[in-house]
Amino acid sequence: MAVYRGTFFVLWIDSDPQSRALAEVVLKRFPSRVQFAAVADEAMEILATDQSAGLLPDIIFLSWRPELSHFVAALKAEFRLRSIPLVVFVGRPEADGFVNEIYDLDANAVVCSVNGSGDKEEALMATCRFWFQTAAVLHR
Amino acid sequence: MEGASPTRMELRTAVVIGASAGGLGPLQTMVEGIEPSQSAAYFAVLHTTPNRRSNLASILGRAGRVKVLEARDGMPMEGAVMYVAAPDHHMYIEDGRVRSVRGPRENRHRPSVNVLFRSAAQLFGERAIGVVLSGSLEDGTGGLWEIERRGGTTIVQDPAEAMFPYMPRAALQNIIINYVLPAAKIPSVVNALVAETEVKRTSEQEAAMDEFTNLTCPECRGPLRRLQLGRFQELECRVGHRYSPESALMAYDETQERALWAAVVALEEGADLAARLADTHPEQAEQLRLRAERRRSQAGIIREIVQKWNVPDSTSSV
Repeated sequence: MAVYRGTFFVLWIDSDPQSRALAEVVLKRFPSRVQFAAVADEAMEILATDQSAGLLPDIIFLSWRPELSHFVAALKAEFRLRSIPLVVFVGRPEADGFVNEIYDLDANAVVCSVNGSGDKEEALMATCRFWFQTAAVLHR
Repeated sequence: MEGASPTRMELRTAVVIGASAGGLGPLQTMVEGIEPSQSAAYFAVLHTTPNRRSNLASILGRAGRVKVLEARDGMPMEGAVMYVAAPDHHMYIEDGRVRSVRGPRENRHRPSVNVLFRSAAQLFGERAIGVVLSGSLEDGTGGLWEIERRGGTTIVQDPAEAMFPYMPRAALQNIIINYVLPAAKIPSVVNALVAETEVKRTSEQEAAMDEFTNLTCPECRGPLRRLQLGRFQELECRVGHRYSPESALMAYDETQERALWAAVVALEEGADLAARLADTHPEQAEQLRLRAERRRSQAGIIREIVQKWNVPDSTSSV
């Protein structure tokens, strides 16, 4: 079995099975291993388990829902978790300042969703390419 | 710990599951497929950090039809119920009850998979079913060995599928595993085993051999015994801290770092004191300043050693 330190550990928080399936397709093109959580308590449980094994994710992707603001606040309040880059996907921002509010929660990036499934895949690819290759989160 | 109890008469089977990093998903998959049986009690240990409230019971409760409870010490063991270990507590079974206690860590974990598995093997013998899912290091191997030794059934998640394959792989390399399966296929095997009324009686294999070593426990400094569990070895101290070889190495790494930092503190404090005394004792000032300088230089060397210390992470040998 390969040595994993060239592999990105990803936590993906999304309640929509179709979006998770798309994420899985995209992440297969990168040297990554992903854990999915549908809701905040699952994500916290995954982080607690990974932390106990000293294997925290290199990056967290989160599909925004207002109830996740508590999760983000808890994540950013914990010393060992706050440095994990957090990328938040949002639908089209309707209210002024919506994106800023998420940045105020200390998200590292906010990505607005696109509509078509082909476009969605392309947007996800671009996001992953940036974080895995340009920002190189593995070496943070 | 051994011997029949009224609860045990009704409960024929214990299904014990252990998981660590990458293990929540497969655990949810397993719970989804389990058909709860009144003749079986189910137990799950997922490694976790201490000092937190866990939502594991409610997460798993949503995943399937089995009733899931977080273990509380002394609660009766019931059929068709899954018990999950509370953070910072070992969970094991004894005389028809579930125990949840802060015993000595095993493989640096509390809860530990091995503690649960050994108790299930002792109480249920050939009717114990042990399942090891994704995780790093080797917790679970010693426990599965005890289950195998007493004629129970051993199952691991296919390492090719596991996010962190080391735990199932360590078990595969060291003991006889009856089933190697993707997580989604484990429940149907477990359900079938639980439904079996007859089990193949196998003679019990030899108990663990042990001998004292010249090593001391990295946690409490008690002398360590080496336990030979078939092809696998564990180290155990008088208190009960227990280590697989890999987790012992990691524990020693942590101890070494603490010891080196303590040396830095001692040397730097000595240097500060010598420098201060040099100001008030002019007749020895030169000698004291030289001593302070030497201590600072020695502390610097040790600091550099610690900072360049290359501790392999727990996935490196995967």
